[in-house]
Amino acid sequence: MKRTAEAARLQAVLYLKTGKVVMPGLALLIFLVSFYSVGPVDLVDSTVLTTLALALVMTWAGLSFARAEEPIVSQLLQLKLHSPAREIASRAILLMVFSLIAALLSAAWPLGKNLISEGAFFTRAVTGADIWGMLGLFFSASVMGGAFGALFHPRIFRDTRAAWLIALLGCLLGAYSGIISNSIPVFGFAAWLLPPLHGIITRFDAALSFDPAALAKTLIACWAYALGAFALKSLLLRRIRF
Amino acid sequence: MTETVLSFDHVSKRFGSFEVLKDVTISLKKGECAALTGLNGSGKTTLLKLAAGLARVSSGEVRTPGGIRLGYIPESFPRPAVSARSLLRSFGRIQGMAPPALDERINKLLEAFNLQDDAGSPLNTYSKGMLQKVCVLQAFLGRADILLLDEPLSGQDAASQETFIRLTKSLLSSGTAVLLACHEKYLLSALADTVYEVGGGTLRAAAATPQNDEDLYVFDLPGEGSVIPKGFDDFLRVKQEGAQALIYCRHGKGNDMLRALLDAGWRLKEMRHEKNG
Repeated sequence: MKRTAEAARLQAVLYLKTGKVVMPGLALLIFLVSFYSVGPVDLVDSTVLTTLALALVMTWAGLSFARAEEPIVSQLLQLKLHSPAREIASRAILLMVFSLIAALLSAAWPLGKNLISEGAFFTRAVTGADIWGMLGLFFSASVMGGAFGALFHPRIFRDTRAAWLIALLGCLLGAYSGIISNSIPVFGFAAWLLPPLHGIITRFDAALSFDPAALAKTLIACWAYALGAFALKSLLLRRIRF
Repeated sequence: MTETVLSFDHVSKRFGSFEVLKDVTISLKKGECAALTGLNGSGKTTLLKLAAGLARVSSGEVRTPGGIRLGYIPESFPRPAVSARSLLRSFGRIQGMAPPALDERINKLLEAFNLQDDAGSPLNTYSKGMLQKVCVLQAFLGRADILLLDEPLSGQDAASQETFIRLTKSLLSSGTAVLLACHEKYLLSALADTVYEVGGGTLRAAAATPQNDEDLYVFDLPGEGSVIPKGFDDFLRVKQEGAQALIYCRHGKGNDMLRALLDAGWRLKEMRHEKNG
């Protein structure tokens, strides 16, 4: 585990040095600053919208992280770790760390504004359960978005432009999958392939607080999707070698 | 019997309809060095990648014993904005090396390849030759059972090439097997036990051509079990034939070795300057 963590650390340094993290990071910051510029805001609604934005931004980050992978470094790491799976796992660990940072930042911004405004930034008082619910949604949606984006690895999708288009389309279809399924029922059979963003919107529609059952379903859906995406990527990359 | 550490059993590799390797069967034993030569695009790099498990065979099988440690020098190396020292330190830790021994090993290698003064500079400021040295150093960091070397000398200065040959020879004598793709005849001559010419998808055994311009010293061995002293960088290769040792050196570089062996009681039987190739 220590060696895999060291590989993740090296990959983090190499990725950060490419500067490719700047654009998605900036996009998230711009969203947070503009979306939370005027209060008071509804706690659940604003959290759901931020969750969707985070999933989108982390899809971007996951995709850019996957496409910034240096094949020679990956080859050397696989040999030094004696396992392709451990090298792929080190990248998944790193994406989770990025997701955690993005989730903490996204929660800290509105909660900080609420603290500064002495509790007047949200339409109601914030409870401990709200904070845990917010963090759980942010982190889970970030990991899910990152895992979805990371599927668009250059060894899986050679064409960069197609990879970006399909990832964006996947997010949009994921957000509207319920509506599309209502109009085109056959779409429902393929909807599970898309990030489960629609469920996040519908489960908390007009909610005043985070219902524990709805929250649990959402977190399970996000993590199941993320783990499925990580497993699929690992399987494909072990088949499509260098 | 010497242990086989790598074997290709009727291996073929296709890219689409193009078959780059056809029914290749070779094996590599502990302490053995096999070299691959051939034109660019003939399949040398593909063969090394198959040996490393970095590419999949289309048919046949590549076998290595379980838990084997592979060192690999790829044909090119990236230029991230990190220093050589920091990259080597990370690679060493990933290989499971402990920091004090790791730092000592890195310093030794940097010094041997005359890279100690630039070790703190980012790799994106390095010349091609300097970058190739880092590529070589990462493979020499830890102990490997098999070294897979793809054009290891490309762009390196003469002193580093000699250091590379000396280090590789010492690894070979300690049991590391080496599979090497290169074009340099003197490297083949210095290291290879077997040379294969790769072309048309097949491997053909070729003679290890002696380097142009080298000196051959033929000595009578002073006694049974005589060991040739170590530490002469200009040894290209040594052969024992009965009670005689045949030592090949770079032309004009054998004086120290000659003096040491004569002092050790060896008797020079013959010396000649060979021009080959």
